[in-house]
Amino acid sequence: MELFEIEPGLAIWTWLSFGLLFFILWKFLLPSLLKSIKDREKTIAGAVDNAEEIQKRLDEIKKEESKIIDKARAQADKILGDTRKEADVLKSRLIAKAEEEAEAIVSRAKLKAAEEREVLLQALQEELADFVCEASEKVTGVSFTSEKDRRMVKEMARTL
Amino acid sequence: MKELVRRVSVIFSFLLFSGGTSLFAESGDVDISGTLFHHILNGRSVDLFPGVPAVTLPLGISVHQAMLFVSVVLILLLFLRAARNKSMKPKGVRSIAEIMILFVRDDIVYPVMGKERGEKWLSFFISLFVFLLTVNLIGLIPAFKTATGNINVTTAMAVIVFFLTFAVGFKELGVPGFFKNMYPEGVAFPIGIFVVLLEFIGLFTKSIVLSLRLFANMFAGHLAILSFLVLIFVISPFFSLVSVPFAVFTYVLEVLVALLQAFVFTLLSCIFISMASTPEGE
Amino acid sequence: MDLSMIAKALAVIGAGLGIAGGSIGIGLIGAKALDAIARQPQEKKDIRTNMILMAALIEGLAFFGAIIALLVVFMK
Repeated sequence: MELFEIEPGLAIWTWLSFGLLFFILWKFLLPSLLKSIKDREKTIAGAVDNAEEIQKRLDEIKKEESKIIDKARAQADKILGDTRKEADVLKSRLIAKAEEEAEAIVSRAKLKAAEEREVLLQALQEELADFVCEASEKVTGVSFTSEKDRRMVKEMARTL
Repeated sequence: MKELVRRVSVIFSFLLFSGGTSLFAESGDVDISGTLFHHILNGRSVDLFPGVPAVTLPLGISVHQAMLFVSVVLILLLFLRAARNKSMKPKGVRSIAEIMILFVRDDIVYPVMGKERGEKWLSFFISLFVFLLTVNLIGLIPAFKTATGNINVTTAMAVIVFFLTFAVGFKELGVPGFFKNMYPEGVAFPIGIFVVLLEFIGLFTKSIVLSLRLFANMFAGHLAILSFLVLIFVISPFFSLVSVPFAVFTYVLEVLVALLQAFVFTLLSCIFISMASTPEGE
Repeated sequence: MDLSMIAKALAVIGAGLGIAGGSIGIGLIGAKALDAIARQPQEKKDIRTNMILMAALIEGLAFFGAIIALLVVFMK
């Protein structure tokens, strides 16, 4: 049967070709390939570790950052509150002072006005006394020029 | 991509079809088994294309021998190009080589042998796997033949594994230890001897089956493809409508079988070698 | 001539029987392996390797039968 024909030559050639292939691969070609694969795996593992570490540190930094931001915000709030309070105090003080001043001015003005009115009134009374004296002189023909009369008229005008 | 697949399939079916017509190109008459085997068995001449007269190989080398050389050259070219590419990211040929290396390493050698021992044996099993795979696949190209469809080739490969089993076993365990390893612990004397005998016979049968499996798979697959095509000539030309699709299907299946058998051969030799050299119970 | 034809026919039947036996065996392996994978998906790789290994071992036996049948059929 041809199917199971024994060909020692072919077997020997198989050994030779496989042996050659194995030798060349083993000695020359595979070591560099295997080494590069191993290196790459090491690099990848290292990169993964590195990435994990970086991630961890990033998380830490983020946490810290948020803490710092919270702190800063609280501080700012506090400062703002203090300032506002101070401003309020200042404002109220200023307002009080201004009111006081205004009041003083007003009262002074009132005083002055009263004085002036008094002066005016006096002048008016005197004028009136003169006027009354003159009028009564014209009517009666008697002169009321004496000091005594004038005072009497003045007194009268005051009670008017 | 779709266009490419279609074009390739058209070319393949044409080649299969024309291959079928070439079956009877020389004899023209009925000797079916003869023509079938002519296309599988070893010979001295190659039918390159239907219509073209067969080329007789120089120097008296046979076709299967030539196929072995061609595959060795192909592998060496592939690995040379792969080794020259030093970049971190595998590309092109380099990635093909790496896929094979990683497959052998992660699916065959390391799970069976462990990492430390496996590292020493890795080169051998990579060469074995790549060699068998290439020889298996090269037979699927039209006008080429499958060298692993010849029992001499597969037996030669199995003999390598067989002697390696013994050599490694003797080296690691010593000659008495190797045979003592076969004796099961805690078994009475006469039965134990029987078991040792069985194990010893098993050493041989395992290797014989190893060679026969590869041979039969590759041989039977090609025979199946050819049988479908021969049916065209036996039944009628119109039977090609059925035959050619079936032949293409078997052809695709053969690609899978070529890969699977290379894997199985490598896995089994790895297991044999690792079993012979590890003490029982480990 | 007649006797050899009978022998060849028997050989073909024998090959078929051998392949049937092998198919049953491989089918059982496949079923059990899928069961095991369904139960323990994390062991998938291991189970698959062992499944292919066992299937290949049985397949070898089936091929034994087929080759013996072939020998008988093509015997001149």
